[in-house]
Amino acid sequence: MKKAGNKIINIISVALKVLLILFLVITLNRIFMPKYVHENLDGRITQEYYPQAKYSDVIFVGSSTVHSAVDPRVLWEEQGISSYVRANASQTMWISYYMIEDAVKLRKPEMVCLDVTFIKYGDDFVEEPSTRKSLDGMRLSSSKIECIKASMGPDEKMAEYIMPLFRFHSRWKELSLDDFRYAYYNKAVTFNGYLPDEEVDPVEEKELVYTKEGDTEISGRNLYYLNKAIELCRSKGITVMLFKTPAHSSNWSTDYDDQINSVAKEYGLTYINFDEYNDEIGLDYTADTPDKGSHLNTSGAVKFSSYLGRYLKDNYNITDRKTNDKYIKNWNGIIK
Amino acid sequence: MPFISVDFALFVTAVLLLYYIFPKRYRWVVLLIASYVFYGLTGIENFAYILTTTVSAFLGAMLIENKGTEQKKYLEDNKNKLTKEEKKSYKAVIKKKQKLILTVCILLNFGILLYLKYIDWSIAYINLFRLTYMGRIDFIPFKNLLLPLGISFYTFQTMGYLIDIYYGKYEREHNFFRFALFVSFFPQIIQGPISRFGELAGELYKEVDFDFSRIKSGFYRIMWGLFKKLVIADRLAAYVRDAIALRETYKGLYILLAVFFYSMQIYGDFSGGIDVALGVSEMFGIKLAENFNRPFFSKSISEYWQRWHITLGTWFKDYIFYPLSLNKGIIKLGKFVREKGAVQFGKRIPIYIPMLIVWFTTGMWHGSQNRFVVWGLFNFVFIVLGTEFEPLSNKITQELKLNETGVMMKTYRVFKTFWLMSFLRIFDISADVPSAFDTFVLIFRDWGSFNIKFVYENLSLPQEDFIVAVVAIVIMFVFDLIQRRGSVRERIFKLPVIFQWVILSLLITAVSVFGYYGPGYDAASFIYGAF
Repeated sequence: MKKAGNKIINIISVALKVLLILFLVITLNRIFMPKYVHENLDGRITQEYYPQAKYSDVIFVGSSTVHSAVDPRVLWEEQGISSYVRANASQTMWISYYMIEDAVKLRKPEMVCLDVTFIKYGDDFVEEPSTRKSLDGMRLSSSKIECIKASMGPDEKMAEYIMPLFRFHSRWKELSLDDFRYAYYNKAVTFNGYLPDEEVDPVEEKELVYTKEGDTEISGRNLYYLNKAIELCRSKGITVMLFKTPAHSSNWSTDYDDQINSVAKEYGLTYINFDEYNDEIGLDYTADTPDKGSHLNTSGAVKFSSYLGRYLKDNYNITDRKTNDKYIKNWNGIIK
Repeated sequence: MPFISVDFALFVTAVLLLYYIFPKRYRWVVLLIASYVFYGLTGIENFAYILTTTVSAFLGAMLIENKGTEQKKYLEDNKNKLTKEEKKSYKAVIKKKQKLILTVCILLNFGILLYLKYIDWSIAYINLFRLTYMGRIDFIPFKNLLLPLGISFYTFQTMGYLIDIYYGKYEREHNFFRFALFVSFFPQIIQGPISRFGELAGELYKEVDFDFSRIKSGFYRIMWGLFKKLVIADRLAAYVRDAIALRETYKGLYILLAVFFYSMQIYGDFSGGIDVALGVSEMFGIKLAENFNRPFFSKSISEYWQRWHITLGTWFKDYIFYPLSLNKGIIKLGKFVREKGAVQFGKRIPIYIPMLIVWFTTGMWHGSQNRFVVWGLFNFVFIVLGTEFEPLSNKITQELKLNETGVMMKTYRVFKTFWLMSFLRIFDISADVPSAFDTFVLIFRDWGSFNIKFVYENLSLPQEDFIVAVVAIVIMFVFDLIQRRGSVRERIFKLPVIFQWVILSLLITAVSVFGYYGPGYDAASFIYGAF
């Protein structure tokens, strides 16, 4: 009996030691990871999703155009739609797929709205800082590992994603008090993934003309993950909408629209290029953009989100949560 | 799979789990499979080399033993029939056959090693000869062969085993697979230590119980090894490289600093790697031979070589120096010289000739370039000078009434040995022999021009890294000082748990944070802007 007791004490003691080391390593990781609290807030979008997962009926997935154009607060206030924007800077289609897979594992949303703006980039698109911002905040799961494999460049290492300390340890020279203060900071700095931008930098040419020439065929990998994302949602009974967020950027081709339309048709989905609805939305790119039309600023975002909310309400069966106390409480917290 | 990598850490963790899950008597099988998997990951084609060594040494040992058994049986069966002379001549015949087997095995294995390591070196000389004396410009192309992982280490270890079997030092290993583990044991295959069969076999095949304290102790040693390698050695490498490359611009103290840092770098790198090897082995309950014993505290070059890369030194001593010292030809030569009147010189021949060969070979072992041979020969010269001038040095000490055993004298000797060895290492960091001499001469020029700012800004050692390196070197020095009085880890384990945790936490933090690894961080590239 005494022997068995000793054995249990030994096991507990070893487990405690392992846990302590783990705590130390996790803390070091958190201290050394760049903090996206005062600037580069897009680095917080992925991690801030988790506390909001249970309230996210609609998930918007895509790249930076989405997180600057879709304000979930407007959708909530005007339509009672509870949503989250899982869209990071330069988020490729493969990252978007794993964002959906990761979200679905936690809670099945009613609808996924998948932005296709970034589909114009090729199979070999790699941009480490953006991949980092998308993935460092993702919880550890098979989806994260697969997403790392799909996204990292030839010189990057899986271990540096699993243990960001290996990537960021050389920041010791520039650590500031903020790195310690925000190591375990859990308060949201985004509005359910939306990043408001007050700046105004008007377009020079009012008329939007797509000028992308040359190879305008969607690359194999983009197409593969687009199909995979749709099939994943269908298999889970999640409604899917494909869209292109409005922007005043000539770097697009109607060839993309045609190809995406044929994918949408194949699955019986809707694809909307919101560039075609600028007038209905009321967008004015002399006032509604912070960067000459690449993204929308706050005034643009309010206009587009309002329009989008109405569109979703009219065309899809999304639960109105305005009568649900838990949702109301949650949204009051976000808006405050 | 690099020795110091996350992949290796994961590999060791997986093997450890399997090792302790398996029944005790099969645990060596786990190690054998792991060793071959590890080796296979470095390139499947390398199996051919390690298998050749394993099979040839196993068969060689078997044949040598069979001849011994044959001799024993024959002598016993004919105990009363043979005269003393007949027995003697029979034994001589058997010994000759055993020697032939040994020679064939040694020639085969060292032949492979020499071929792989020195073929391009030889080709370069053949081409030079052909050009100089025959005017031929149709150069023989270099082979550019890649050395299979750890071939020097396992060849030396295995041939040591075979020589020991030949001399009847111990019984051979009868199980081929167990022997294969002795040759390929993964923690030591990359950089040693070069183990002896008598010591390692007992460790490899013994049945050990799981003991967490062993895992803990091994972990501490691994972390300490990583500290030396990643925090010190890898941090200093760029400065040493740049300072030597730019020696015409940055003379004097810059080079002296590079020479000092290179000593720290090579010690941190090599002994750190050995600490990792020994720490990993310890986790498996296997004790490997120590390869370093605070070498920078040596008071003479001979002592230094008894404390630096110990297992290579003892290998050369046991398998080259002693056999040559006892070689009839060399003894006869010594006797001949003594008889001719040069008594003192004759007495030294059986020592100095084998020593010269040992140092020539040691130089060759370190690399297939002339500078390593010259480095080896300089070591020989310094050791001989040290020995020959010892009486004079003692006399001066006595005349000056210096305290031979006092701290001052000891410090002076340690200082002198350290710098002598450090200067010799210039051959290691130079491209060739002339540039090594050139570097040495430049040390004594332009001391006044030294400005630490250039070290920080122009020679790849920014101020923060410089400070970290210096602090880490001081920690290493203090550690070695404490080690003089016994194992540092045992001392740590006697401390209250809270202090043990503080030390471990600091060690983990130091290695993971201040380690010089990875791609570096450029804050600018993380600024939001690229869409």
